[in-house]
Amino acid sequence: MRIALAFLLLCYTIPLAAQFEKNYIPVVSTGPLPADFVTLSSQKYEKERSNLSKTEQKNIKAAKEQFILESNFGLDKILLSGNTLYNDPFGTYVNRVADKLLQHDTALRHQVRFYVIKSSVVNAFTTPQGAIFVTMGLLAQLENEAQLAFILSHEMVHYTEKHAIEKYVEAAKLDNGKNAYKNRNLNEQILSQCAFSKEQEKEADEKGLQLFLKSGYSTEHLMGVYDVLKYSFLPFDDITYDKSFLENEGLKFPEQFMLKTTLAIDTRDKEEDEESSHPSIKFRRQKTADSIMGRNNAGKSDYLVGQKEFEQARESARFEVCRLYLKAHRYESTIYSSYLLSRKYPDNIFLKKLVATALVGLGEHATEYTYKDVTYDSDSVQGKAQALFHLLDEVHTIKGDLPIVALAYVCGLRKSNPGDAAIEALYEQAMWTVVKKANVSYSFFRDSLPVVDTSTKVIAVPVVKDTMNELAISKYDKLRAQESVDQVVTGSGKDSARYIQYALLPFMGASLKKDFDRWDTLIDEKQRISLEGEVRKHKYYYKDRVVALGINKIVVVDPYYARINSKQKNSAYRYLESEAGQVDFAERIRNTARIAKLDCEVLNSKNLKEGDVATMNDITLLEEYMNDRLWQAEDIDVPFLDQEKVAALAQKYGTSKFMLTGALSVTERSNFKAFLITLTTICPAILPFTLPEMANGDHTTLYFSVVFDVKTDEVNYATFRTIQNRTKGYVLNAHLYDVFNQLKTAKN
Amino acid sequence: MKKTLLLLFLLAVLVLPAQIPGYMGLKFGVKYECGLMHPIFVGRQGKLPMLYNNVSLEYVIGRAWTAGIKYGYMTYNAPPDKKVYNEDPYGNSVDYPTGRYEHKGRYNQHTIGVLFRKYVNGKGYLAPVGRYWTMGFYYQYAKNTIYTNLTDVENYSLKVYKGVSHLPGITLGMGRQYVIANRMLIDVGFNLNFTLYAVRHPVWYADRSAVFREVFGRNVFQVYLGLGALAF
Repeated sequence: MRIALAFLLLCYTIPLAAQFEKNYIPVVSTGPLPADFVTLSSQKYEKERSNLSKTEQKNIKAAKEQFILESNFGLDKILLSGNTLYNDPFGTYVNRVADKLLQHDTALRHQVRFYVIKSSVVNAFTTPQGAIFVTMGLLAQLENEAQLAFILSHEMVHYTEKHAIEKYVEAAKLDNGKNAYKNRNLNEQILSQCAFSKEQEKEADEKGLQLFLKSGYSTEHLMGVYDVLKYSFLPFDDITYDKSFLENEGLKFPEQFMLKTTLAIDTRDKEEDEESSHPSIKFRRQKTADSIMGRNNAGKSDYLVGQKEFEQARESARFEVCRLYLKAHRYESTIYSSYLLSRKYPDNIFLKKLVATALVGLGEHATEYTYKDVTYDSDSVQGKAQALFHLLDEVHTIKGDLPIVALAYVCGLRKSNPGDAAIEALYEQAMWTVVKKANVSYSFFRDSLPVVDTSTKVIAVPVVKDTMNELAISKYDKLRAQESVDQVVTGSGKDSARYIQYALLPFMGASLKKDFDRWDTLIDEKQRISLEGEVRKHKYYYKDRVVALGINKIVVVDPYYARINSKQKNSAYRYLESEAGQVDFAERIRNTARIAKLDCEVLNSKNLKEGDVATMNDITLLEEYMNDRLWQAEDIDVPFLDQEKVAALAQKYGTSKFMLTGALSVTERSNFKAFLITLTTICPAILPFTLPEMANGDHTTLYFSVVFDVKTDEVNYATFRTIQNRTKGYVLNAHLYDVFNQLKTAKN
Repeated sequence: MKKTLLLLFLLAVLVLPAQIPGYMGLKFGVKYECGLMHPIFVGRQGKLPMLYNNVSLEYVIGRAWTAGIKYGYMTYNAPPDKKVYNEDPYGNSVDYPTGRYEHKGRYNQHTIGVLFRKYVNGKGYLAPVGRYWTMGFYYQYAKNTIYTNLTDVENYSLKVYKGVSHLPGITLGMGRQYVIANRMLIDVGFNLNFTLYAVRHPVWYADRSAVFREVFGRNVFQVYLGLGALAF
């Protein structure tokens, strides 16, 4: 706690430029876990349900109960996702703004809690329980503190007016075709719902503004908040891309890779959309402008907490957003956002690592022909960012070029930061991609700049004045002329080398050659278990890979259990059963590991205590790591950004093996069952054979376990099993024991 | 053949313990099974189902396989088959002496067998838990004794036949085994037993096909409920 406070104090006292000049350390949660985190969802649900009025109409009460159930579990899902920060600088700042906003309404201030969530999306939302969330993306885009205060006011009205539950009950009426929705077709019902939602938003705007106006915040620059919403799809700034950002002394991108002009941002206001849940921005802007027109802002300010604090939070949020883009594998957005910040902080190593990782990721996808799966269509990107998107698009068209660009960038980074483990990991991966996947050897690269050959005869490009003139020149003459120009532009000279062959020019030498040769002769050591393959063959479980790993200790990370019953009319996801199952599953893991004589530690988000902040942070980091590893396709391998932190957990827990495990119990309608009943009625003699299918045909339990070695960054074991039965404790026990037994047993 | 069997045995012994988990490490089960045999084709021995008792041992030899042996015993007293003796071919009981008598039968059957079970991995089960298919072979020793009592003469009983049969056969079946309280086993299923051949003594009393038919019919379908425990 003291360290956190000291950090906060340091943050507020050091000038921004100095603070972010060299590095940025991502924010983590600190201090005791808030009560929201340590109470089971089922307990929250029971408590809230008991407060419901007993005199209410039966179907309304049922809808409200269902709403309370879903909202409580939904809230906990957000809180425990690892993306919600608490006792952090961002949350502290937002709460201070809320303090200023509600200094005359202490009762409401005690009811609402504010959290910042790690999401690049520009948004804020409220839960009926009084938890209000602001995204990192929103913080990164705001212009001033007053705008944040206005958004918080808007969200608080949603809470005080109980908009969420009203909307849910209205939707339930829609489902049942009751009251106003009687005798309406589906389209009319949906439009009615949208109109209802719009009315709520209008009310939140109006009452939110009243709340805002009571505070000391000025309305002078308030209207900009609608621009924040309108342009939320854009990066936090729009700056011309300088192509030298990814270049070095040797690597110079051809001019034709750069767009002369980029697609202009569409500034037109959208008209009112009947099928939207919100009124149009144009309408909202006008309404707010009318309400604040002529207001005297004397004695009021855009900043009550402080401009410095706001800028501090916004700048940090922008760094976080860059990281969040990378986490979401939005590589181009990562590079452009990092580029924007690099203009201000050219020596910031955090940004450089993000760019390097994004380039390595793009290089991997380019060599596996999955580039288009992770990138945008550059033609549709608006704003100056399009230049970068287009450049990368052009570079990737020749297999191997993008990995070389990545390698060149990482080499530069490595040269200026020797010994950095994360950069070394990126270097290894970039080298691997270039040598093994793109089949490029050291001899491909040039170690000196081309000598300009003045004797080369350049065929003049025929000047096309009109179509008739163009018709007079043969197609091949035109193409030959174009080739000649391209050769000069790409720096060919006599040897006609391509621009990419000069990419490693500043790093050429014995050391680089040695590394190339090492990778060239290295046998494929990266024999990872193919997760995709495991999933593909799950139907043939008996062929499942059986291993003996000789592990003594394992850490199970947040075991997962969910119960889904699609036969249920109201909600297929069985919230209460799922949570109870998760608690039981964690206990079952402990017991089974004990019987298998395997030392097992379970990090469970469902039984956290107030002081378990370190455990929660570890769960968050490990889940982030595991999800990232699982997301990567079979042949895609991009180093995890916080690999060092993850590897450090091995020291903390006394093992490098961390397990992700869970079970999903599914019940669904089966037409096959009806067929079997019919068949058995016709031929009763087959009853013994059809009976088991009839009894269990609707139920399936999916069980999975994946074991990661966080030190070597490898998957040691993966299994995905389909149990065609309802979830029985003893069947789960058998599978858990089987997995633990394989982990525990050593090869002779 | 010998080499193949030896190889299979060695493989079964040498496989890694990790590959054969059993149920939570428990691989050896002892069970008592109580079953019903429906004498579908039985003639005079009545049409009621007959009860049999089995004791079996089961050992996990693979992720999907178990091997076991069983001993089964079944006894059955046939209800009296009442007859009337009359010398007159036309049934005139006035002119000719008439006697009443009845046949009583007792049947004993001992079975030993070797059974292999394949648990359905494809449905997500690991031996010895869940659904399984059974296959195996057995040998039966059956003894049939028929007494004739003269109803009108007190304490008159005549043993008219004592037949012994030796019957080998094969078993096919399916079922499901549950585990409760970590160790206790509940086994439910059915078997189809196909008697392959009958050797009977003495040879003079009944023809071979009659014995074969009778025993075959008695054994062909069995349903059972087993209770047991995983020992180690």
